[in-house]
Amino acid sequence: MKPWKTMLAGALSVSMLAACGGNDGADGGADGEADPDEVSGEITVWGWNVAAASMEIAIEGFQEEYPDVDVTVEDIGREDLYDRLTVGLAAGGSGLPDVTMVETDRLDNYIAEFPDGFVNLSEYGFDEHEDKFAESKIETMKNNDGDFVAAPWDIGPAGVFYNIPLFEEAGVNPDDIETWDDYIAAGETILEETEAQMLPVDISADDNLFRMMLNLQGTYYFDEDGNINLHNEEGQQALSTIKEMREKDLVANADGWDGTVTATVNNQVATVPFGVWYAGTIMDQAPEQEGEWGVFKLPAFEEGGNRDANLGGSDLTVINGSDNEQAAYAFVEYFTTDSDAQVNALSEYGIFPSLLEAYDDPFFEEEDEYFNNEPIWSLFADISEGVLPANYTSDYARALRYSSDAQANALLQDADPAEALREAADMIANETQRDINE
Amino acid sequence: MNQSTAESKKKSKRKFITPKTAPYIFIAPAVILFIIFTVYPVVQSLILSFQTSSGGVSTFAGLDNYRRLFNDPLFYKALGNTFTILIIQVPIMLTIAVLLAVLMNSALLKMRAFFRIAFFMPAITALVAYAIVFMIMLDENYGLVNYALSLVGIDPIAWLNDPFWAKVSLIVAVTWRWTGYNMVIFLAGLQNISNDLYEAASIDGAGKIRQFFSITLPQLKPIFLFTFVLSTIGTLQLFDEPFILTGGGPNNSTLTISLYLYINGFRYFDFNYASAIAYILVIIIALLSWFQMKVVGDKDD
Amino acid sequence: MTNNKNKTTTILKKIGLYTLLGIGVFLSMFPFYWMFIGATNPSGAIFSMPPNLVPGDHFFENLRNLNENVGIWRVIMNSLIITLTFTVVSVMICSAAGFAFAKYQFKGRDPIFFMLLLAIMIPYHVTLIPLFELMANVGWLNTYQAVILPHLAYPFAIFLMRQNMRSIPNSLLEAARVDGAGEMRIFFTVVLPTMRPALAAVAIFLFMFQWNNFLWPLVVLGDSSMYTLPVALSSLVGMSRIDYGQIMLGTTLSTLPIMVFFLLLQRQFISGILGGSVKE
Repeated sequence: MKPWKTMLAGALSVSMLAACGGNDGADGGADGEADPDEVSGEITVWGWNVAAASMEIAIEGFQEEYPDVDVTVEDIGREDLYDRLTVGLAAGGSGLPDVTMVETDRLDNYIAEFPDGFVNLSEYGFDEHEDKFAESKIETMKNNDGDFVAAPWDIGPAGVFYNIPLFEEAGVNPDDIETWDDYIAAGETILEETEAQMLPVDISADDNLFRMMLNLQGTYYFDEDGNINLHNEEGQQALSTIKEMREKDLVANADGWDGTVTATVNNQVATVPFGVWYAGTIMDQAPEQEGEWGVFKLPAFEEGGNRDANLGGSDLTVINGSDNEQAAYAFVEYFTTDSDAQVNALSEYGIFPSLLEAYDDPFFEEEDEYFNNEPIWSLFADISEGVLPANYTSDYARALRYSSDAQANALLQDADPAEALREAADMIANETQRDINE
Repeated sequence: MNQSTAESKKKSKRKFITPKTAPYIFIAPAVILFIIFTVYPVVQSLILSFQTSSGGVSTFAGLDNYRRLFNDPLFYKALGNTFTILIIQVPIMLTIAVLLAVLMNSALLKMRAFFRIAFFMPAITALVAYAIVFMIMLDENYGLVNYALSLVGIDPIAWLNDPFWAKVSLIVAVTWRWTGYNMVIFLAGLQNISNDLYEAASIDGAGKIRQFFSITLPQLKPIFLFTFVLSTIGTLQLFDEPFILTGGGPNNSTLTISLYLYINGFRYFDFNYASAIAYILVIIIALLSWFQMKVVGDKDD
Repeated sequence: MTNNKNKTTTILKKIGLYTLLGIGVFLSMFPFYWMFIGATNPSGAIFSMPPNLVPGDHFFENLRNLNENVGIWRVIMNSLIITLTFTVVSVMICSAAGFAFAKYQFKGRDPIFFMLLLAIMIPYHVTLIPLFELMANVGWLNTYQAVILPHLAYPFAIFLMRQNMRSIPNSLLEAARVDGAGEMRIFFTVVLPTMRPALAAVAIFLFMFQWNNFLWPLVVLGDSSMYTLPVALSSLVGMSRIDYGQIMLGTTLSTLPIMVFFLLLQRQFISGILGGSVKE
């Protein structure tokens, strides 16, 4: 390496205080299945609030199988986790945990930039679990060689959370909403009768509704070959629909996450189309609204069309350079493929599994008291099985940004949706050298 | 004089520390720390700015990143936004700060310590809470600010979701955070202006307002330069407010240079390009600071 | 008659003065009051409409939860240890350097000083990764010194000290030399005592900087038992669930030490800031 750097480092450590802390644990072996009793050591896992908590409660079950592995879960803020992960990987893998969660849509980005950053889970035999997960999830976990670099954890089947009192007051039946046209018509009625708007949209910073709409139509920013596709027919239809809602005054312009929550808990929006994980947010921030929220599927773009889409989701990766890869893999494998661990994460913290086996658990038949005694979990399980796959690609972050710009352009500055999207597509093409679908 | 030189010469035989070596010893800790923890990382990132990388492999690329920068419309947009905010925000903030300082300096005022700390508080808030509080207060539909405006019959304003108002919001937020800080600096300056000057002016029949312009402002000139340069650097590096309040939106209308740097490095993982942005920014700041010193005329340096 | 009139104008002036400053204080302090309201209420209350402006009774519950989640006392200890050590050492280092730049002629003085000033202009994100690599190489990740060391030579503080020390008359230093005092002794017994206001001012800036320092401690302190206050508070902001009550309470707590520090030193602070720069 750079000799003078090493010298400098040596001089520093001699002249100053010795480091405290340090790494621990024995070296695990390399590949193949290992006898659980022979795996030992200490591992550290990174995650953010509810996700970290749900891994924490799985440790006990894990240690029944692997009694000699100690697991420490570090609870880190979401953006903070990414900043730390990025700095650590860019510095060649220092200061990182053994296992970390990464959101699925950001995974490609990390793998492309840091191909040696993560352990190839296929070498440990993760391929045997391939059939256990929702199909739309599996492809996103693999690198270009078809190997698993992450283990699938949660997914975000999307639905429309709706405010029951507002719907009743306006005399709208949620079961009648099957297409976006129905949705807009219902929104107009509700606006007229109750003065509540139909949905919150963080127009300038987040395009999640647009993404759900793309996914409904079986596409995303990029197509399955990685070509830019957000400006095509599907994208135009999605953005035009959002613009129409905005023009009819159905959209509450919410500022960021806090704005969306404010809108939700103040009975000022009749619906919130979001991923399943939003259920936990509503329960936390508006405990007094128990029984006032229900869920129905996203509307389709045409009568009888697809109503299943996904928003968000995450997975677990093992960091290359972990002192204890074997134990780290053991935890990842246990946590993502153990039905009890996954059901607990859902029932305690609202994190929805991609592990199909979990859906057979009786919990999914339960009616949720908060959500008006509807069996919302089986509804979401049903949605997850129909979700069409999305190709996020290594340029997801750029696409997300330019797509949000296009949304702001169309909704706030009255640009034509087709032109705004085309502009975004050109910007992405210019910076990524990807082809544009014509 | 002779005696003291002889004395110190005699001492230099016994002593390691002499007036000749002393300055080096005094600056040594700072300089050593500075070289290790500032110069070294800066050189490293400077090297990065002359490379490109793909899939973890870096190659020398000469000035490619800089060339790309000069053809990047978003960079120009960020530059434009940053300067717009600079030109509007800094004068507003410094004006308010001076006026507040003059009021605070009034002989009629009691409880000065309370007022000082009250105005200084915004500069010491933790960023997390600052972000949440301002997001919720500025929300278009349910924010406290629009609620207050509605009480006096003003229609809601899209504080963070309109290209114009989003800039205004940033300016308001930055002004909220740093005005008190600057006011405290000005206040210190005011207290150093000799009362004799004002008394002489009073005898000559100059009113309070004329005194302000003919005595106070000229006397404060060095402080103005000091705060002006500091605020300029701070604003050109503006990151926190756009990052937490607008994310640079809507449609990049609040994208600043530092935020663009962060997005390229930490979102797109293009550390090479991010480094190039950083060093162009350093050059801009250095030129501007030099220019300000020349124009305002700092006699000290 | 004129006396009365004077009295009335004085009272009017007073009313005007307090009204203007009152408005300023209101604008400046309101977000803090609101934070305090948030700190004493359950999480969702911050969103209520019309806004809730009355303190609630959840203070102790929020405190208990906050302590359970981040170990608030431990975190405050970490912050205090790091910030106080940093402030004391940095004040020494920066005043020594400032003294040399202000009062000695030596080779390389101006270029070195210029380099230091240039450092103020570098955006901090860009040095993050090399600095982290350096700390990793010496095995200092997750230590106090990793947070303390990098900014000890704080250019703004050196600059401020230099400005202030220029006002020390040369004759004073010469007289001490004639008396046979060594350079070190002059610095400690002659220079530093006269510089108390400037030292207080610099100390406040340094304290404030390190107390609120966020990004660097975040990346370099991996272990949650080492977290400083801003890092711990930020860890409460997760994905779908945020406990606003705890965050507001944590923030309220985190401003207290700076307030105390400011109140203790503010008298000196006022005269210290201007220092040499005011003298014409």
